[in-house]
Amino acid sequence: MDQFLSEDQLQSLFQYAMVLSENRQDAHDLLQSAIESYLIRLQRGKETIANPLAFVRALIRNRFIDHYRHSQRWQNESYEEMNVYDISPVCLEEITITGQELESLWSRLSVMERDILYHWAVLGYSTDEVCALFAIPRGTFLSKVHRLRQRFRNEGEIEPTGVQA
Amino acid sequence: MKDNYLSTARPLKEQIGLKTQQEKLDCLEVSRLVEMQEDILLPKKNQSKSKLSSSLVASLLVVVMLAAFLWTEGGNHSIQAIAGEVAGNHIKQRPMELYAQSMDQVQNYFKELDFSPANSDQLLEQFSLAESDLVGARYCSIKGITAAQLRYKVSTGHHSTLYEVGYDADIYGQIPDIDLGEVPETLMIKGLKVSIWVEKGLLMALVEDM
Repeated sequence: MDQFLSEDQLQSLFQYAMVLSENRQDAHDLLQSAIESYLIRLQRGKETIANPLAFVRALIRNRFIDHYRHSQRWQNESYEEMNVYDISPVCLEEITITGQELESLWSRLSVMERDILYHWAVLGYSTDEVCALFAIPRGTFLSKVHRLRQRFRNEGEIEPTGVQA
Repeated sequence: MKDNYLSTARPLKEQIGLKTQQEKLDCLEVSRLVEMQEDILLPKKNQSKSKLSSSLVASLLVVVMLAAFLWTEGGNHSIQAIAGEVAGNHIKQRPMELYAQSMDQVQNYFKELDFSPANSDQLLEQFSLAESDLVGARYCSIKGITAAQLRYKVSTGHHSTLYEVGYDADIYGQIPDIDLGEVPETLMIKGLKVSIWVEKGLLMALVEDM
């Protein structure tokens, strides 16, 4: 069991911090302080950390929520949990998009939407796993994915500014 | 590569993967984070991998104990080592974990320490640093023991850093105790002025820019 984070793992954690913060300096600070907390836990030696990468990723996410909630960069959105949408993971799988379109859309997604997409696209989580990880009801998740699908499908019609859920 | 990423339509999943991979730490940032881990993890790693015979371990133990004895006896060497470590930390100026303007906030934050950070009288009397000059704090370590790092803003716009850790003469050697009428040991290291003393049972080290 190796508790040393390799260069590839550091890059992956930095990329996750970038997904959340969208700012290089903030991402670096988030990563550094999360690693420091991780090392303090190891130094205390009171617990075993089986998956350091997942552990530090969770620290980054928690720190981001704590530090940025005050500036409302982590949005407390209202969910339409009672609505039923005709969606499935396939809906997102079918979408194709250019890098330019993605760049244009990315910063207009909420932090949670980017977080969900990262877990789905990069970490390979299924929809059920994302629900379990973020402790959100499946109905909530589905309404969020529905909105994402609409955004990606309508990307060509979205105005350059002002579109935000 | 970048042009190709921007203009080519791909499945959303693949495109998000490409986008995130474009963000990278540079070599210096990676080496700093690796170094940070090495400071804490490597000694333990080496210990766990060593497969020395019991007699060799016993011999090494004697050597280590002798070295530790000589180390603690040589108070100046110990102070020099502490000064070098805190000066190195000060230069790195790692981000604060807590932005604070009072010792109450600091004491409430540091729950994982074996001591409670104290307001130093020496800091105000000799170094003219008041509680109101406090800007933030973070965890750190001195000789592998978890410590508190407090940052103060001085009138010149520079920052001074005060380190506090529970004092143990076996670990840190003999350090002047101002409660016994002794005066802080001051030395210049890495272009910085470092003052070290014991106060209220805590080892304190102040690093000032010159």
